[in-house]
Amino acid sequence: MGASELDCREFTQRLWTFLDGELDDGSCQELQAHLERCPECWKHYRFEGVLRAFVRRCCQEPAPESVRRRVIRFIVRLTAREG
Amino acid sequence: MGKPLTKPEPECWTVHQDAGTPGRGDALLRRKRFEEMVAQHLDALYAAALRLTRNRQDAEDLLQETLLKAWRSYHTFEEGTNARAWLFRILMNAHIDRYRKATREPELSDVEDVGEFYLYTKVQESEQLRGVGDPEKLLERIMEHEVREALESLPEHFRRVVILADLQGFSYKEIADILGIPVGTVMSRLFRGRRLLQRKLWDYVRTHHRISEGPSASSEARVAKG
Repeated sequence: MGASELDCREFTQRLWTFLDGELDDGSCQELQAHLERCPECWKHYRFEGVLRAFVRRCCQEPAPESVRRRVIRFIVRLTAREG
Repeated sequence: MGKPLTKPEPECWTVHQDAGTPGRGDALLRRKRFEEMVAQHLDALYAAALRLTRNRQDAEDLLQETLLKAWRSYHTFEEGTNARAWLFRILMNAHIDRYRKATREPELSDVEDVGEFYLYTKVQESEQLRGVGDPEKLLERIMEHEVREALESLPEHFRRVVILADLQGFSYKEIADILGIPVGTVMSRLFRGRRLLQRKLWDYVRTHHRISEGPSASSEARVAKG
């Protein structure tokens, strides 16, 4: 084991920041190296990614057509006051 | 909390005059650009408003107020900069103003800290769920409305950050700018919010689908019904 090799606990602590794309390059490489040799953390990594996509999908709701129409009318009225 | 926007006049429908009054053609172009910008980000703004206010009428009111404020300060918007972040800052400021008027925010220290909580670990520890196969299979047992309820149950400060990061994909820095808080605060609220969210989802799985907790759970416990 090299000095810079992560254990599973350190990996888990940085996992969310890694998924957020907010880790520096060095740290990313450490996590990627850990992922390549640890099937358990790979499973956790994959789960967090799927969970995140799932939450996002469940919570997105496009504006209903009625709302969209009201917004457009509102903006036209609002911006027409000028010019 | 940073409040980069200037307070509008109380008369809701008066529209500000630009410092240098634009010619007619410019004004028309400006209106067109504003309309296009709103149309492009409407779904994202609406979804966030809905998760923030937790009901449709309030979400529409918040959306309307956001658009009014956005148009009023549109002269401060620099073309080519991040329109989505700009609109979300206005949305969040409008929401925070309304929220402050309506409620007294409980101290964050009163919110329970669930410590290191990972839904994944819970799934791995459950003998019933290990038998199901891939841990992602668990998600098939959670209903869409349960996820929305779980998110909406998060304390206000955590919910704002989770909405911006996990639903809207803003970076830590962008969230810090939108909410006017330091990046470190964004991170701690985001992580605590996610843990609370995952615990809530675990509660749904356990109670609605009869999954027993932890490695000590009896292997004879009944397997969840579909």
